[in-house]
Amino acid sequence: MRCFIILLALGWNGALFAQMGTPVGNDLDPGPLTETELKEIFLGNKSIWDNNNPVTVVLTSSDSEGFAKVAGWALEAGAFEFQKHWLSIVFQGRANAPVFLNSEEEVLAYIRGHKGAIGLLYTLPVPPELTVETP
Amino acid sequence: MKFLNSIIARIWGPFGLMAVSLLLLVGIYIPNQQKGTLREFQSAELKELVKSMAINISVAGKYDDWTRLTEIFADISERPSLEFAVLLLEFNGKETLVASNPPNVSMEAVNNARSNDLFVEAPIEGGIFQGKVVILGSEAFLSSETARLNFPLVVAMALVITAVILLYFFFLRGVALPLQAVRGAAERIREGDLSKPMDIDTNIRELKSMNMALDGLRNGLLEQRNTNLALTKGMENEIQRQTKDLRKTLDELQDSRNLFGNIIESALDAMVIADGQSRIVEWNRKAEQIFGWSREEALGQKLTKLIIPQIHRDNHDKGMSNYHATGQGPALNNLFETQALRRDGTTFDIELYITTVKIGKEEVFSSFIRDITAAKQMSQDLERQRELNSALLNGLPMLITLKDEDLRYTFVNDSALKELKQDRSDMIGKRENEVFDTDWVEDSMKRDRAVWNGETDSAEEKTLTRGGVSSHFLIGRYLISVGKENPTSYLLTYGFDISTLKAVQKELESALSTKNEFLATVSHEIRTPLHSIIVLSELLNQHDRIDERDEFSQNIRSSSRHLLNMVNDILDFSKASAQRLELAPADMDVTEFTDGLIRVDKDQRSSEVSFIKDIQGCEGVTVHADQTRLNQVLQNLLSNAFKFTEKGEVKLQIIGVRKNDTFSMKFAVSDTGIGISNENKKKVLNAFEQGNSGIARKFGGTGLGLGIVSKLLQLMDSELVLESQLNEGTTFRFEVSFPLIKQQASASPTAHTAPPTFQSIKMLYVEDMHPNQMVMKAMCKPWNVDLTIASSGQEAIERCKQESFDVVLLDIQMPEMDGIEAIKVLQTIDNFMDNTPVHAFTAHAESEDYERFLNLGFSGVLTKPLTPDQLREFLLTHLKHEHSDRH
Repeated sequence: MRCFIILLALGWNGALFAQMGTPVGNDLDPGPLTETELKEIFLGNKSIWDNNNPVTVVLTSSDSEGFAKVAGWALEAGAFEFQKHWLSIVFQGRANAPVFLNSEEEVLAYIRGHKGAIGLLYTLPVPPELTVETP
Repeated sequence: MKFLNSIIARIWGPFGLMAVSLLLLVGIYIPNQQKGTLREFQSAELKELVKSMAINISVAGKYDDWTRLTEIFADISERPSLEFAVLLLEFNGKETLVASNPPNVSMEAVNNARSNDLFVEAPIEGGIFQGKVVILGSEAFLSSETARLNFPLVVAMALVITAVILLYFFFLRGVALPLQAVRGAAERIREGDLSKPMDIDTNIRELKSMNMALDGLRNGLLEQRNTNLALTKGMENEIQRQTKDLRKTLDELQDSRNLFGNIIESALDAMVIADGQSRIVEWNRKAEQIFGWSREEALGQKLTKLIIPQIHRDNHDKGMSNYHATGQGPALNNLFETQALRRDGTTFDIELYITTVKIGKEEVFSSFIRDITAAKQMSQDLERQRELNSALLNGLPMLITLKDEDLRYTFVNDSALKELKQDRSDMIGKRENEVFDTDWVEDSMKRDRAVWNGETDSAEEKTLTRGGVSSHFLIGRYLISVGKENPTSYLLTYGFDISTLKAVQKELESALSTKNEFLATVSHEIRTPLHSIIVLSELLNQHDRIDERDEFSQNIRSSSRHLLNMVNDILDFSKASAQRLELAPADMDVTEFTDGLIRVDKDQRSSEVSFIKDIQGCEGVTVHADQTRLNQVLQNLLSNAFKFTEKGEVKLQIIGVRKNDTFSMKFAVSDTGIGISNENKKKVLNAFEQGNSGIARKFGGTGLGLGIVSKLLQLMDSELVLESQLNEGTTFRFEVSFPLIKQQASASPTAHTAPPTFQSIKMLYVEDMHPNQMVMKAMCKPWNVDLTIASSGQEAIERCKQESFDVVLLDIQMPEMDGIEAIKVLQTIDNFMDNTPVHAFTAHAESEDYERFLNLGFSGVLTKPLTPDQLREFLLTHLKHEHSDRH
């Protein structure tokens, strides 16, 4: 019984404290990015890379599982709150709006075609050329 | 107005108006219009923007298409026309401010801006985001845009105004100022300053011409002035001379006016001067006093409103109209009396004189008014007094005339006119001998003259005979003076008609004669029985006349009774004359009464005169009547009948008739005596008078009997009727009615059946006179009454304190302590009055005396003289009383 409660608690918190996916990016110039730095990027708090490429956050559609995982990891909240967060900072002009795509394949394809784009993969393997270094 | 007609105003007025209009148009109207238009444009733009933002947010939320959001929202922060933009999202039904641009816009600021017309909002619908986007336009942006747009207009306007100001100064210097100089020069000329030449500095041709013309005018005026100065000097001299004359005239006029004013003011009468419209133009001090209006208040007022009473106003107005039409006025120049109105509304009598005075073309009416209220009142008082005096003199029931020194009539009163059968106009101013043609005139005038000459003239009696009727007058004369300083003398003659007095005097003399005869008769009637009493009393003491004692005693008793009856008659008549005679009715047994009549008359009957009594219908009847007085009436009539009948009969007839509750008794006393002549029938009923004086001498008597009978019958509502024939006889009749009393069983008399014994009665007799004491002892002796005699009130009191009595007889009139004082003391002895009856024994026999004694506490009253029978009755009553008390 005790074990069940612990498992239930972990399962409930899984959405809130999801694991960070594998970051993928195109022509990012910051060097290795820590998880915190990645969080700041996916929360819209960074708008331009050191090489002056604009930061474009690419996410799967808002009703996808990947989007919920990103929300749980980055904002430690649900998908709607994460959307609202982005809407707020875009409304204030502090960040460019993220790009929403239907699948991780489309995410990979978009990143591949746009410099400064960054995303998180949870299911697909990360191509080497789009790998983002992490410490 | 002066300024508006100036050249500057006329020229620069339109310019000024244009400048102001331009200023209002460019500075206020156009900017406002532009600002409004911009506001509308901006509002529409903002609505489109906010709508676009809302749609894109909806699309972003629904399709994950955020492509446009970055672009749109980035554009917001760059727009200067926005004050702020706010994103509001709904969570759990509540709107929350999610983001704003610029940051830190509060929800309160959003709510405050809702009323602004630049506040626009659009809903976010159809996606996951529910809420709204709100934008507020910037007022500063609008203002700056408006200013920017109007800047060229403002510059243009400034240039125009500058041009206008420059034109103004140019015109002012070139035209207006020279024109003002010309005007100033003209003003100097008008004011007479011709010293300075016209030196206007101008290049304008028209102004130069005007300057030259003015200078010519100045020169012309300068010459004219010099001419005028010379003329003026001459005129001034003439005016000074005329002014001096005028001043003198005015002073004289003022003096005259002051004199006139003083006369008016000091006038004893009110003076009121009015113009042709009846408006007051002069009002002196006396008018102020009379009417109560001050001069200031009165001047200018209409006469009708101020001093003419309402009832005279129409007449006044008609009079004025008539005067204006005809020049005639009945009230003018005539002194007449009328009424005027005071300030307090009261009217009063005035004497008025109105005259007209012509001043210039206008006529004024001068009124002289005198308040005659007091004079009129005095006149009325005098007239009233004169009428009163005249009425008084005319109303007096005596003849009054006044004659002057010439013995001419100046006043004759109504009584004199009536008595002398003359008219006043036929007598006033004439002498007696001019009015009357009688034999007494000469004597009367002699007497008048004698009084005028100071000879005293006593009143005279004069008999005037007119139409066979003689009247007696008492005529008197004396002088009277009227007035204090210059008295006027008149001869007052008065005359009283003393005919009535004469008649009364005659009657009084006749009455006095009758009285004297009466006194002589009474004296005779008193002396006669007294003589018998005195002589026979002395004879009783002569031992050789013992055998005649009974006869003497009988005679003494008869004389005494006669004397007593006579005294009673006199007293009764005296009371009847004073209306004090009263009846004392009580139950009366008619049978007993008629029986008693037989017994009483027995002593007076002559042996040759038979007495017949005819009694009918009187058996068993009891009435309520005064038996004593009825008996007195019959005794008098019977006594007379026996007295005047020498032989024949005297008949008494009584017929009783029951009528319901009353019992009527018809009495007739007839005799066959000397009778009464017709001449003496009236006299016999009068007091003191008998048929003739010879009768009194022959038959005796006071003559009061029938008088008393008549008075008593009057009290009984009856009347004595006399029927008589001389030498044949006389019958007196009368009828009386008495209330019937129901018959009761009468107590059987015991007093007469057996001689009573009074040994058980202990009586105290209080009497100061020894003879009376002896009489009482003698009367009581046969009955063995236990009699105690006290000679004074004081002794009686001492006796009563020492022993008890069954009854006390207390004389009233005693020296030292009288009976009244004595009973007051007896009343203070404990229980004495409760156990002992005290009777007053007095010669005061009036009914009011009875009442007075009973009120003082006496148990009863016994009247002197007291006969043995009366004493016996009293003792019997007392004995009965004692017995009943003891039982």
